[in-house]
Amino acid sequence: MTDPIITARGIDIFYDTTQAIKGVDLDILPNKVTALIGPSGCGKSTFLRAINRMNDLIPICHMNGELKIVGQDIYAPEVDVVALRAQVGMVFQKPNPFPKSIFENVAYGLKIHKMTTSKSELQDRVEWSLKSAGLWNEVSDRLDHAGNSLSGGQQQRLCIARAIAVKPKVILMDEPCSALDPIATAVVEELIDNLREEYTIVIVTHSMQQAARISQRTAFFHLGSLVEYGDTKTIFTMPADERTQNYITGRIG
Amino acid sequence: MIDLTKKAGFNLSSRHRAERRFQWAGRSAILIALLFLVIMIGTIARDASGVFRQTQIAVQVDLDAETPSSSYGRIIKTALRDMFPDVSTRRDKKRLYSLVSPEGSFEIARMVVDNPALIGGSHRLWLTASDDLDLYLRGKVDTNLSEHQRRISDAEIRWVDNLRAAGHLRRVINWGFLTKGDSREPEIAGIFSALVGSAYSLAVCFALSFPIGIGAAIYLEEFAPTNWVSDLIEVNINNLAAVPSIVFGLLGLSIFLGYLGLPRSSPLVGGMVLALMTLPTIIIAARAALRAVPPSFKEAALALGASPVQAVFHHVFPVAMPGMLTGAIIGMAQALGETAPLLMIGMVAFIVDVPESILEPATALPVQIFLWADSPERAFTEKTAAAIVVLLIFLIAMNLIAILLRRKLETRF
Amino acid sequence: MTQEHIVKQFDKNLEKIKTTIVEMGGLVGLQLNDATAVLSAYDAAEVERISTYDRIINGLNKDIHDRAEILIVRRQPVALDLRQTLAPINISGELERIGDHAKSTAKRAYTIHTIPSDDAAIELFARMSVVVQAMLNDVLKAYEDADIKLAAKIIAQDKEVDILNKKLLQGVIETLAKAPGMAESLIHLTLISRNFERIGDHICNIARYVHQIVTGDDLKASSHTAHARTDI
Repeated sequence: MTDPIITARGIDIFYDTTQAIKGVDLDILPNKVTALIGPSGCGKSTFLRAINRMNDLIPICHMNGELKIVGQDIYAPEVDVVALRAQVGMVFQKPNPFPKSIFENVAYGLKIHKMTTSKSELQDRVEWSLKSAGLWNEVSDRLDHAGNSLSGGQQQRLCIARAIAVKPKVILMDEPCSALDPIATAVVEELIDNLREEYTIVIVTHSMQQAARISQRTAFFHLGSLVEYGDTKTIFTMPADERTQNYITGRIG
Repeated sequence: MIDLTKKAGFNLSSRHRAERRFQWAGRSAILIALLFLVIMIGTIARDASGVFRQTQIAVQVDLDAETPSSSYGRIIKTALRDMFPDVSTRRDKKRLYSLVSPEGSFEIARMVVDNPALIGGSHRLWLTASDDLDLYLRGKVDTNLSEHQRRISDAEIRWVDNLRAAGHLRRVINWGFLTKGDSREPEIAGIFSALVGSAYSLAVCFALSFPIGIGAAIYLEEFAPTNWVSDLIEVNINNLAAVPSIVFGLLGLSIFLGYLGLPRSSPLVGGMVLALMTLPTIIIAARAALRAVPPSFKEAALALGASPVQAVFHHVFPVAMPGMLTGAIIGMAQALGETAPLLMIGMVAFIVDVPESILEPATALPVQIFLWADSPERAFTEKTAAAIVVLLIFLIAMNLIAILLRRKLETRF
Repeated sequence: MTQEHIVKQFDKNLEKIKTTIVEMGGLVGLQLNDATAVLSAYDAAEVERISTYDRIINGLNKDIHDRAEILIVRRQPVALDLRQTLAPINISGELERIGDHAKSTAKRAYTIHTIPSDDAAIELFARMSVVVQAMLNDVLKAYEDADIKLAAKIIAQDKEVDILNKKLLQGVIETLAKAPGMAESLIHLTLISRNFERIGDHICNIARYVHQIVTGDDLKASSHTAHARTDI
């Protein structure tokens, strides 16, 4: 068993006095797709957003416990959250390309982190990102068009290209396909499958079939607790916990 | 069986009646508003119509090389006497001389400067006629009134009729209204100095209020922590927007003029006072524009690793810009029409010269309107109306710029 | 034991598969009964009935396949639901084969009545039939109630059938040595005995499927590492 890339120990997350996550211990393995599933309000999105410290933006949200990425505590005082987010990318539920051109969307991260030294290097990186996201063939002739002139599925792939342009270690995805039609979903799922060779992906999804399709590890959250975590095959054929079985077979909400 | 006609029940007839009533109420409201608008604009336009032409009177003058400019007045009087030799009494002569505007001598001087070839010859020059002559010619004098009740006497009326018959009168376009400064004489009074004064004041106002207002709005909306201090600031800004503008004038008077000793009546101080007044409006409009930006852009930028300042200035600010600009221009339009605060800091003085810098004394369009409305001469009524028209055109132009700018910036979204 | 699905139709669909299996099992039981009766006293009507049941059983088998197919399409079942959907396909197959053995037994029974046979053997068959029919009823009950203890008992009970079968074979061998002329009937008797033994095995398989539905463990697989394949 390889060493985990993200380790969470005793994570409690509160919104003011309401506890959203209770005592979660979780190890995310590298170069695998880990799916977080569970009913609405079970805390899976909250847990996901703790990994890139997006919860910091919510003043009433505070956390106990230890979250390490590649052995480093990301909540330590010397951690620069900008550096963290440059290495832990995020793709959101609703595609949100910037109101700029396709090129500028992908180039933005590279520019602010000064990752390229010349204009041609920048263009190469943008092309590489768009190719990795499977979007290059569709947009190479209109890189200067607005990002939001693309279809929903293309926009989401643009957001993925934007995230991988900075070559993060981990990509977090919060229900990336829930706003997409079945074909666009399938294209994105195929992309995720290809991406896991290079990146570690943690994906929150409402669709159990999607979790079964694309993930290798699945974590089932219920009312803020981590109920069961294991190989996706096992979770979906012989889950150990009855709550897991009840959820995946559609027996409780 | 399904009944889809009006008789199907469901309270249809009563509801449709209510709909029609509302439609008619809406239409009537619009019609009434339009009616008032048409009446207002129509009245002003009608009153202002006469301004754009002025009457000129032809006089035959001899210009000698040695004639000093101070004696151009006498030359005009001589010319008039030549035209009407039978005028004898002192009172009649005074009346005769008053047919030509007192500006006449200065006009000859300017003509000589422009065209030195005039010197040494006898020329027929067109000079501006007096405002009373002009009014009479346009039929604005009630000749049924007795002589004491009119500004123009019977004798003058006879002379004017003579001049008209002899072809010594003509009406020309009065460019001077837009190019000249204010004057005691209504026939040569112009709006230019007020326009320049307003322009300078607005420029100062914009230069001060826009950056400060936008900066404050961005800080308050994006960076300030949410606590009771921020709430207090927001409440105070909202209240300031409702404060009567004359209060800002008093503030300007005591601090800018009294304590800081800045030049009185200058567009600098006027602009500063107007800036204080429009700041709350700009801040409120800018905050609303910022709030209207979908938070997803900022979130996406932050998730990519942008710092908070980068996320706001690269993504939120450009999207909010059209709304902010619109708010700013509306604030400017409001400032353009403010009189009270400018009166307090002294822009009420009678300024003839066009100000050359923001430190020289000036007046503003609304103040000019106020002054002219106050004048007794009948002719100033027209000028007031015409000035109001100019002000309205200025306002409409600013609003048009706002709409165009907004459209141009929005298409890039 | 388990909660109901939020979508009630799902439960109804699963329930219908279950009742169809039980119905099928019931008909197979009747076939067994008739086949045993024919061994003692030939009755053409009973043989006819077995064939009639055969047709109905085939229909039910197809019905179960169709229902399982639709359920997979509609509900994408996982875990327990998936096992409850797939296992009946196999169980139905086993039941069908039991039915075939019953039919074959009945046909052979006709033959032995025309030739001299061994009464002791017939006695043995009666005992085997009783055991097997009891096993069948039990396994259907175990399936209905998801009772893995009962399923285990049935698997153990199969040994009894095997013992009886061995006993009969021994008897046949002995008789063959003594009276070679009875060879023909002895062969038939052997084959009939083998039918019962096979029926027992099939019922055992059904019991294993019942166990698999409940626990997910395949009792037929020899090692526990069968699940650990990671390339699936």
